[in-house]
Amino acid sequence: MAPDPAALPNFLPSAYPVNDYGPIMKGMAIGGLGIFHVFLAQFAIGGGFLLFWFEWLAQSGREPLARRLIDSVFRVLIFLSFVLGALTGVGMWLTSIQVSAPTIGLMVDEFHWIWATEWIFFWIEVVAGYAFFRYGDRLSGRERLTLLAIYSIAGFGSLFWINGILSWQLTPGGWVTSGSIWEGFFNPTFWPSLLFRTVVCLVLAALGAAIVLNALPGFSREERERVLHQLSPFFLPMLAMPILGAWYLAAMPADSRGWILGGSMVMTMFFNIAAGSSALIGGYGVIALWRQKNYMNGATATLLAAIAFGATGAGEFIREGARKPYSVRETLYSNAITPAQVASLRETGVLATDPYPLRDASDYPTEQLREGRLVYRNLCSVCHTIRGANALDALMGDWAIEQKRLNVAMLQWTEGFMPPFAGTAEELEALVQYIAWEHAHRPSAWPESRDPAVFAEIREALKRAGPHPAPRAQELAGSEEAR
Amino acid sequence: MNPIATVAAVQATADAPTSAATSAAPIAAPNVDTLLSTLPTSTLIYIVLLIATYALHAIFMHYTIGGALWTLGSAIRGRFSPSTNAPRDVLATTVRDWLPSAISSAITAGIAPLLFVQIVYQKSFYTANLLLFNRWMLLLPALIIAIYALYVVKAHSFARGRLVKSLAAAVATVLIAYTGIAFVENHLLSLQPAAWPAIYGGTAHGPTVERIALRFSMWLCAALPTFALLAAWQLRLGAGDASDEDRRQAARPLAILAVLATIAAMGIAFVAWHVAHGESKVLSSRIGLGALITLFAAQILAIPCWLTVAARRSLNGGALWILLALTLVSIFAAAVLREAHRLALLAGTDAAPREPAPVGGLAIFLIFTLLGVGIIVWIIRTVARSLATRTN
Ligand code: HEM
Repeated sequence: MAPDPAALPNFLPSAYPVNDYGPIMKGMAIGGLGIFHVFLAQFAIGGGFLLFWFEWLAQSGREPLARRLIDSVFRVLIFLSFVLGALTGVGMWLTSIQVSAPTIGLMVDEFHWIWATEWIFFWIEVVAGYAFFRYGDRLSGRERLTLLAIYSIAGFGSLFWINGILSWQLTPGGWVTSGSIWEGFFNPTFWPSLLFRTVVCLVLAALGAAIVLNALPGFSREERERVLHQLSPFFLPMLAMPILGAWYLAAMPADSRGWILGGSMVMTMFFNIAAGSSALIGGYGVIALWRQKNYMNGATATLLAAIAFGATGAGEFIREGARKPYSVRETLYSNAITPAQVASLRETGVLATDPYPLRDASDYPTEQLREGRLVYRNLCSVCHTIRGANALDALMGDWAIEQKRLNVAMLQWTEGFMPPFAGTAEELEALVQYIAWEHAHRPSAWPESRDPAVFAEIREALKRAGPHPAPRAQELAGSEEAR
Repeated sequence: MNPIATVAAVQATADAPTSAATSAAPIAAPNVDTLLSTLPTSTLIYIVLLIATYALHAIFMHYTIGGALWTLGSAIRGRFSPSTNAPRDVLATTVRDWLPSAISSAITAGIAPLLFVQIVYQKSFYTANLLLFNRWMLLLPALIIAIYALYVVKAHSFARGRLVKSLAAAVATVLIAYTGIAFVENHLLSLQPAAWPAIYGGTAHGPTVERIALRFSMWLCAALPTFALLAAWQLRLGAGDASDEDRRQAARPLAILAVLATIAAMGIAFVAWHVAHGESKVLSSRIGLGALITLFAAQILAIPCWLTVAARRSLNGGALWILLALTLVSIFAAAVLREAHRLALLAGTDAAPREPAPVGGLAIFLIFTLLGVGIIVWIIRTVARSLATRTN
């Protein structure tokens, strides 16, 4: 059996202090860094394979010019991936703790041996990389090739391991019932995601190499064309992307797929951006390099790399967004409440468990508003701000007060991205009052709203909404319960 | 444990008066030996892994801190600037050339204790991270800039002037020190569970500047002898094409640095202990006292070994082997003492060491560890052999 998170400590947003990011949504912090990291890491992984390929071309006499590119590409790899790639990777971990400590805590609890194994791969990558970087010119051809093979396999290994953990978040598969980490690791989206990412790695490496090649002095135009042609095997796998993408979509939960394919305009738009950009890069790569119909100069390669960066961003956005309202599907909601906790928190209240005071308590004219702010902090702030990105003020400030109550009580029905409300009727009213107060630009006086009839109405609405996630999610997943 | 019960415990500690929550206040800590005997085996295994991998991190981290300082000194003395006509200084160039790899290794080695600390001390580690917030997250850009600054110090093609190199080395040193300080503050903060809510609310202070400064300077001084030893070994193994004369030149400064730093580290450790009022009572346990005596003995024994190195002006004798053993023992004993102290302070709070549910994957980890070690050894041997045959 998968662990019952409700039985574990630390699974409540209030188990940890929550920081305020001002106008920035927390997802933007992790997403922004994530895109950067994924881009660099995938470039580095593909770079390993590319270097191996070029070394082989040079040694086998198929393309002696390849040798001249290797050291320069490797230097870029070391400067970018060993520094920025590695540190943004550590940064992802530390940022995950900042954004949702319970989520990363659950991931660590479940997959620490996988991460520890990945750590061994990091070491192999670092040692092989530095050995090649420092001593490559003093090694025999065979030793160089072996070192590069080790380096690229270790790099790919780290993708293999992390891919299992990340895809588990969206499709935990059999883990949910068996608790077996291997069922979680080799989950339904593991293979399509791994293969898709591998293709991306190869393309990014080829684009990086094209930029370096064009920047290097000492090559004639014909020589550059010859070397560029050798990059085409790294673009060709892009032809498989539509199939891999379709496989990935098919393996996703139906509701997530529904959002991407029209259910959520933003997600659909990002999906189209990712698909269109990939088609553009793949098309250019195949036509220019493989069919040799066109030349890829430094500016074009840089532009294509920038488009690839955008596509990576869009892809990561889709991957993160498709999980909503969960951070680990069927196990942990984005706000670190577990599905099993919702019903009990509606009885006991989410604030009863929060030891952390408000830092600006004196700014609120009433106790109820302070409570409302705390409810916001515990249940909403992981995805919303008050006035910045995805602002509650903009989203619901104008709603009538009854509408606010009803829509928050039936949160998962209001928008399938959101988890059910996990607090008492009194807490819900406090939240609604707090948002109304913010919308009124924080006046110095604000009436308390403690009408038992209102609380009774809210309780009724909470009951009607039920403690389960979005009915749409369940419907699409074919669940009987929702109907 | 029921989460509500957990939170009730948190609230109970939150209600504790602020004065009791501050770190300097005496706390009735349980005996570490007794605690250890009550911990589940799985928790003990994770603690051992935490200690072992942390010790590995410490080795590289010591070289990084010490190397950065040494490089800064060398840069100021014009060792890397052709225009200053500085004498050949193989020690300086070797340290400078290896620093980026050392810092990469410190970072890579840091990942494993980062993992295990999240298993055993999830609550306290995360909470400290969250309370430090920006100051904690700043260590990432700090390290990125530090590494690029080290590449500037190393660069041959540009930045040749003494001023630029010195500035770059100073930036790197300050930022590496910042990282160390962030870890020290995070660690101290993680040991104050009762004070967390008040610190968050701004009504209590985290660790005082005095305690952070003491602990960090203790680390800094403890790092220098390790650095000196590793640098000595590098020259002994022929890094930077070091000749016997180069080794002779390097022996005395390295030995003097190590001896002075060892004495300073012991002095600061004594003061730090005094300031903390021995709050965790870790020395009343066998394991704590044992670790301290081992650490102290190893440090004391290292001094005559370094004096021998200085007197003989040689990096070739058996002294370096003894120093290697003593350094490893010191680092390990310090890591044990550090964990025993943490265990005593957190036991009984809701941030006590956890017993994680058993999960699969250990076998895969062990298999790949063996394979990985084999591959790494193979790489090092192959490169060494290849270099040796080419030089001969
Ligand atoms: C090169 C720059 C670094 C320096 C100078 C440095 C320094 C330190 C110091 C001084 C400590 C001991 C803190 C104490 O006991 O009070 C420490 C602990 C630690 N460091 Fe590093 N560190 C560096 C980079 C890193 C990185 C990048 C990571 C993560 C990948 C890391 C992971 C750790 C961990 C997990 C601990 C133990 C934390 C604990 O037990 O609470 N370090 N480091």
